[in-house]
Order: sequence, then structure tokens, then C-alpha cells
Amino acid sequence: MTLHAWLLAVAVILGGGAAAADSLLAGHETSAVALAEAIVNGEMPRVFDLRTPAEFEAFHVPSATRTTVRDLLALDLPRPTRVVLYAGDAGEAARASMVLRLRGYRDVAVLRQGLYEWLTRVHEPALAVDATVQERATFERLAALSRYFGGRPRLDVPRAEMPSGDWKAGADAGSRPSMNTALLVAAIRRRGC
Amino acid sequence: MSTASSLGIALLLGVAFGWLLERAGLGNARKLVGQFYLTDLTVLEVLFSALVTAMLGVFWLDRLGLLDLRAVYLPETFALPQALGGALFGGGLVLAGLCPGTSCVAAATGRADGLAVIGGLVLGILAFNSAFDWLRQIYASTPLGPLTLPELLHVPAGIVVGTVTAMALGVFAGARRLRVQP
Repeated sequence: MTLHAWLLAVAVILGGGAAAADSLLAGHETSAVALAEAIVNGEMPRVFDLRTPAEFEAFHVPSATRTTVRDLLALDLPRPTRVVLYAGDAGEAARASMVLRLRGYRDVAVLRQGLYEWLTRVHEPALAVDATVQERATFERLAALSRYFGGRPRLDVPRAEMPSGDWKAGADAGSRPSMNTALLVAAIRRRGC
Repeated sequence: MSTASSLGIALLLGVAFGWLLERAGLGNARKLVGQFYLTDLTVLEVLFSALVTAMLGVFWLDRLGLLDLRAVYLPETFALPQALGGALFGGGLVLAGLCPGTSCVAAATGRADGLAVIGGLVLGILAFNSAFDWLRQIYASTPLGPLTLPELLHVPAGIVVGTVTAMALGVFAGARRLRVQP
């Protein structure tokens, strides 16, 4: 086998492996609302927060446990346990998910958009000042969840200030969670939650 | 890591980069310009393979927990000034036959054209700095922040990595065929 053939094989394995690894993960995201409803319904998913201790201290999903990828290597739960992960960046959550899958956990999901979606959809759902009937109905459902978790639904929010994210069709990158989450948590703490 | 260590590593990487460029033949202006006439695709092959190697390395080191991607600086995108800069850079590359890195490689191997390009490069830096107040508005226009393909395309990073790798292999196969043909 020539050097070129070896390099070709390595590139195919690493490139194909990358696509395969993330394709497997792509179907295993959960929305913040789905996670909140699972907790409310008593389904007891195990939620793990992979951010720093300071970030965890500032705010975390109720019932979440702070952990690291290294700690997950030694996690010992019944394998059918539903596990939900979130981190400061998508790569770390994907890595943690891969670690758990390799260890035999089959029901592993990553919280879509991390804590950002939890903050904007569950903790502080917003209702636009010019909301449609459909948006009001959705807001009522989210507001009930928010109150359950001690959140604070926001009313009469100007349309331009409404949070955007992957839960909306055609969402753009303007709502990147990594950029907004820290600011949102700071705002929530200022408001006294 | 101390500044001295960082500079030492940077020096080692710089020397290795220069050596590899020289070994790939990129100290030769004819080879570089051949890219624009599609008579010699060495530049594309060398730089695309470097890009794919780095991309696969960063992706898997991150996934294996050996690299913290959050600590890796991601340059911001400024669409208009970078498009203008790219066009200027491309024009200069065709005219000179060398880019900043390869001009250093050419100069190190004793080529006078390499030295001339480095001279032009220094003059360009001086001119840019002198005109910076005038250029400032364009320089900071159309800011898009630090962009990545997975964020832009809303697809997982691994899919982008796999697709770019497949594209690279296709380009390498095409370049090889072009080289074999008379």
C-alpha cells in the first residue's frame, strides 16, 4: 500500500467518522420545552450541566447536576435512564453525548441550543405586544411551565426584542446561545430570580 | 503557558511551515502562478490538504477532549473589507507570483524575486498604516462576528467536516487527473 493510499484511507475514516458521529447525534436533540414537560410529568430524566462551576452557580436547569466529560466516564446509572446534557458550547455537549453512547447509554439527548433555549422558552417566555392568537396560546402553555419552575413570563415585549432561536422556522444565527446566555443569566439575576 | 514558551512554539511552527512550503515547491513563483492558469494545481493541493488536516485534527481532538475549542481564537468576519482585501491579495499574488509566506521561503532560498516581494509587502504595510484613518470606516464595516460553517448552515460540525473532506478528496482526484493528462 502506497503512502497516498494510506493517507486516503485515514482521510476517509476520519472524515466519514466525523459525519457519522454527528449524524447519530443530530437526531438526539431535545427542546427546552420537551425537557420541562418531561420533568413536570415526573419522567425524571437525569440532566447534566457541563459548564463551569461559576456558570452553574449563576443559573442551571432545575434538577441538573454539574459534571464534566471525565466524570461521565465513571457514571454508573441503569442503562435505560434518559439522560439530557447541556454545555457552554455544542462541541462539548456532543463529546459528552458520544462518551455516554459509547458506554452503552441509549437514551441520551443534548438540550437544543443549550441553556439559551431554556432561559428564553421556559424560564422567561416572552409574549410580543402584537402577538397573534396562536402565539398567545403557545405563550399560555409556556407561562404555566415557567411558573412551575419559578420563572417569570414576560408580557408586552416589543416585537424587535423577541428572542429568536432554532424553535422557529427560518431562524438565523442572530440568536447564537453562546453569545447570549451569559447576558441573559446576568439580566435574570439583576431582576432577582 | 508563558509568553516565551508561546513564542518558542510559534517559531518552531513557523520554521516547520516554511520548510514544508519549500519542500512542496511553493518557493517557486512559476508554480504559484500556474494555479491561476490551471496548469499546476500544487498550491490548491498543498493548502487544501493542510486545511483538511487541521480541520480533522481540531474536530477529533475536541471530540476526544484533548483540545478546548472555546480557547481557540476565532477571527471575526467583516464581509466587505475582507472581500476587498482578498481581491487585492489575489491581484498581488498573480503580479508577484508569491504570497507573504512563500516570498519568505523564496528569499530564504536566495531568490531575488522573494526579496523584492518582501520589500513590496513592507511598503504595503506602511502605506496601509499611513492611510488607516481614511480606511477605518471600510475596515470596520459589515461586521458579521465570528462565523463558522455549522452555525451558518445549521448543520452539525461533523457533517461539515465530512463534506469538506469529501470535497478535498474530489479536488485531489481531479488535480491528479489533470497532472496525468499531457
